[in-house]
Amino acid sequence: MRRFLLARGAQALAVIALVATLAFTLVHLAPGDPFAASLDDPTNTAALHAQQMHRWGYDQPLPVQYLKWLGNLARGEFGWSHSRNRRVADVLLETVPRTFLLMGAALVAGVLAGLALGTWQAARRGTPAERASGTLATAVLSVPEFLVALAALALPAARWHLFPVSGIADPAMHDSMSAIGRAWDVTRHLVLPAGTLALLTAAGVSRYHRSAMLAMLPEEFVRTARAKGAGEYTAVVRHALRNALGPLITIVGLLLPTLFGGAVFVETIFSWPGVGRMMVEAVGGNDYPLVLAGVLVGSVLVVLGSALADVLSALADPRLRIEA
Amino acid sequence: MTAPVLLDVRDLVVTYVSDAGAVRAVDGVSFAVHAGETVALVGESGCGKTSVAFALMRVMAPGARIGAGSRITFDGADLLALDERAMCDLRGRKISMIFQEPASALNPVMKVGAQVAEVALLHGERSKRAAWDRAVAMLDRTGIADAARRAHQYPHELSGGMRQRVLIAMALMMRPALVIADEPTSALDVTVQAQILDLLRDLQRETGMAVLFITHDFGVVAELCSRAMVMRAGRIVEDAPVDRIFHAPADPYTAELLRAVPRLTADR
Amino acid sequence: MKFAAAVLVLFVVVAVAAPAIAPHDPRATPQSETQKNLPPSGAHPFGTDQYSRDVLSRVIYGARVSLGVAVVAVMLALTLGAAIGAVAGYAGGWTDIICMRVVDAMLSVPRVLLLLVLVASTGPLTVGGIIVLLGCTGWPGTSRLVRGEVRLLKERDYVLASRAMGTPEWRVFVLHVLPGLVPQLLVTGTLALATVIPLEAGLSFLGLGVQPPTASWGNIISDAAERPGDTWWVVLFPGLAIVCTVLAVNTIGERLRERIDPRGRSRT
Repeated sequence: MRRFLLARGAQALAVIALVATLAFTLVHLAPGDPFAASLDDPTNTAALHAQQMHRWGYDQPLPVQYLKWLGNLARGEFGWSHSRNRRVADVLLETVPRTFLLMGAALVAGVLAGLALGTWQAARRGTPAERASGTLATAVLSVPEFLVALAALALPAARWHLFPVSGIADPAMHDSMSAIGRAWDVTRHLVLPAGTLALLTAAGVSRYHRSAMLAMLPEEFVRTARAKGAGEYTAVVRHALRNALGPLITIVGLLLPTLFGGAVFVETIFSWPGVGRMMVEAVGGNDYPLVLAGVLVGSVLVVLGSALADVLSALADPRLRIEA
Repeated sequence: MTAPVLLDVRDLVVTYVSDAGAVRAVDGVSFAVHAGETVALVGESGCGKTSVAFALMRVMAPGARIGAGSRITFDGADLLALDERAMCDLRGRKISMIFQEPASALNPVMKVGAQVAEVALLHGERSKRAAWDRAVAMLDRTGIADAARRAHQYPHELSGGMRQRVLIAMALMMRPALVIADEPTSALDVTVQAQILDLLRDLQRETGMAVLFITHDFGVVAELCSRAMVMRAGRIVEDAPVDRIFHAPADPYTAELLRAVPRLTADR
Repeated sequence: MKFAAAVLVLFVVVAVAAPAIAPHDPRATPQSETQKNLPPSGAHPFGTDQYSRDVLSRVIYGARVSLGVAVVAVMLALTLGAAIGAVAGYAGGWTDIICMRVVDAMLSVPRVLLLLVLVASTGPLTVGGIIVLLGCTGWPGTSRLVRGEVRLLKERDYVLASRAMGTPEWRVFVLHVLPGLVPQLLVTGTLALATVIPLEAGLSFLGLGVQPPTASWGNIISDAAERPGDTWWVVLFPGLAIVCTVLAVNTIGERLRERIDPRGRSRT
């Protein structure tokens, strides 16, 4: 087991290193530079521009910049965000936990809902209700995330003012609330964006899970359970489900990149101040250090997430556990 | 026969419906099993004997249909008329089944003790603790050494013979009146086969249950059964006491089957 | 499936025939202010947007862009992915290892992020640029699949036979291995379309894809993003177009996959 963990960890690190290099190369190969926009400003002369480039080290040869950047990364120094006039590390510290919260909530809700739906669909296979729900799930998956988000925005929010539609906290009242009040405030703001992501996650998870369950049902041990006198419910839930959970964890690991992509759109539409929205703004503002940091964060998240999923799924299957 | 009829099957027809068309796996089979009797249903692979077994317990594959004219009476009740709930009550408690492939018939992610205990829990036992204890006792009775520890293990940690004993323990937990044993030794090594057969014989004597052996192995028939029914292409061609089958088979097919059994001495 | 194909054909026809069927010039912005943000009516069945442009015409022309970009991008991704994957799979060794590590790296970055980084590098893009972008980020998935396929095909008897006859490696590759990839590529390509259409729409929606005034289904919607409830028609109709095409493509892709997978290879 330990060897497996080490191997998986090493693999994850290698991938992250490769991603970092790729991202760095891509960003710095670009025509123009972070200060290109300000060239339109008449007070900005060529000399001033050269000065700024030199100050931030953008005039150094690329390999030198790369090594310096790596060195900085190792020390936890992510550079300076020109568009926000702050340390990138500080921006990350603020935005990453928020995206974590969003994705975490969406993941938990979506996986649980998808699990329940997929199991129900397998137990009720062939019935009109099950077929209808399957079509509905496919339909939901065919709608791009930003559209679902817009729909969420247009309906409950605009008409019924049930949940706040933007931001993470009430700008006026938040700071004056108690701790519980603040937590509740954030939760209220979390509902729509996380709900949108959860809906999409649930649809995807239910499709995979339903197939996994249906693959389990013809298995011999399910027949054994029925021969013991187990009803449909017991046979399906108690026996087939336990076996279908292993692949489910792997599926969730595979869904992480898509979920993050969805988060980018959802954060933008609901003005949720997380890493996704930060990225979009950074791209618009030509803020290279921020863009790079965002990519790194995104891929670290995904790599770690799928490594975790691999480990968990190995733990879940007793056949894979190596007993001493 | 002085013992009462426990199971009465009349004109059983089982059809499998698939994209390729309908196949009659069982084509009008009739027989009876008396209380406490050991009967064998013998035949080559594909003759339909396993389909008969699954039909009796109504655990057939989704594409299978029991013909409208079929009648199955168990302990006086019309089995085919029972709703699913009543059927679930019967399964495991009054009729149970021992499956052929112990490796795939056991749930790989559940401890074997739990799987045996589940039978008790499905049929009235309220206490998980008591069910577990009964399961361990049953595992012990089927010859598993160190049953209390083994009960905490998973199927893949047990040998083939032990897994088969687990299946037997599951089938016998509730002291059913009828046990259907589907090729209980086919998946095992020869030495283990002998042990399992001995176990089955002992248990049958001890509990007085009726056993329906589904097998293609005449050795099993000779060892354990008092009566044999020979099946071929969905029909029963001979139904007679074992002595008669072996020494004076009435049907030419039976004679052929017997001839096909490899012998140490004969010069055929 | 037939229905899905019909829907798709309809959209393609609309896209191709755009100049002929669009009632208005999609870029026309009449000077009068009274045409702004009109709900659907006889004159403008899909209403108008905030620049007084007819939404129906924009959606029709948008079909050209959205579908055209998706199709060409997918073809680019397929070609790249197949080429790299096939070479990696066939050559094996270090080539394989390096290629697959790069693939792993690219697959572990969420595609949206990758696209954002590239857009950051290049600045606002032409339609051609977007196609290249989407194509260059979409090949890793295909290459992995193709590599797996090629590795299987490499060991097929007819390939080995061809080699044994003395056929040069490259010919074996082109004549025997490549054709075996076609079914898989067909399925992958179709399903890839279902991913790329929303991706382009999303990018354009964020303002980082197709730039206005050229209409793409995505950037039509972004006009109403602030208050989707008020000018719902600007969101609904392009949105419906996207959903319908994606559903149609998905259905076709799934059916194709079912036809191809059960035959020809053993997938357990």
